[in-house]
Amino acid sequence: MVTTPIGAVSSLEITPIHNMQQTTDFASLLGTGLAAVNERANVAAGTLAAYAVGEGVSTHELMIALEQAKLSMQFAIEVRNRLLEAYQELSRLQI
Amino acid sequence: MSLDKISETVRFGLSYERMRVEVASYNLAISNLALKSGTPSTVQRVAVPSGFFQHMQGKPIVITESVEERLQVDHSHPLADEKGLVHYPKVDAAKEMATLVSATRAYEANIRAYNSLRAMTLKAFEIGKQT
Repeated sequence: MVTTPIGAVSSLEITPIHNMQQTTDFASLLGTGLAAVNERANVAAGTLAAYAVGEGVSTHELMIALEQAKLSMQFAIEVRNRLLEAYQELSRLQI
Repeated sequence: MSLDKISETVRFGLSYERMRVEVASYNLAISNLALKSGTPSTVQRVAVPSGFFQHMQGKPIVITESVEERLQVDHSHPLADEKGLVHYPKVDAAKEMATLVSATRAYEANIRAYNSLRAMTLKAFEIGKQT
């Protein structure tokens, strides 16, 4: 029986971050993010309304829409927390 | 694959399994309904997707499939023919029950997949959090 030795694990291919991004205004990035959160919330509210009047929306569709809205809201809150942390760090800076 | 794509996949899986449950329930419900003379004996089936991603847009397709008739002698039945036979669609009850069970399990599995996805996302929010 011929056995082939196990080769070394090839190193992970890590693409450097600065290659794939072009500079965008941070405030506008925040704006798009918030718009996405709002969009998700609107979709969830619309699905809930359709479910309530019995427009053939099934239960899982409603639950997924609500959950997606909740997750993106939570994500926005986390971003805000990080931002505030960074700001406080800077404001405590002794010059 | 982004979060949206995964949740869309799960959503399709849930609708597909739900449709299978609905169709199996329908078939069980009609199994003892006598057919009027001349009406074709049909049951419903969920169309087998030719490819998963092509079917992800929209809802799963329900098709009708013609089956054999089950004949039962009952002279007093109002829908009996001249020989006294009543026609029923031949629904395979065991098959429909198996569909019900497997679809329910698959529905649960899809929900499990979505929940673990959600748990992973929530955990990811904790990256770099100061305890």
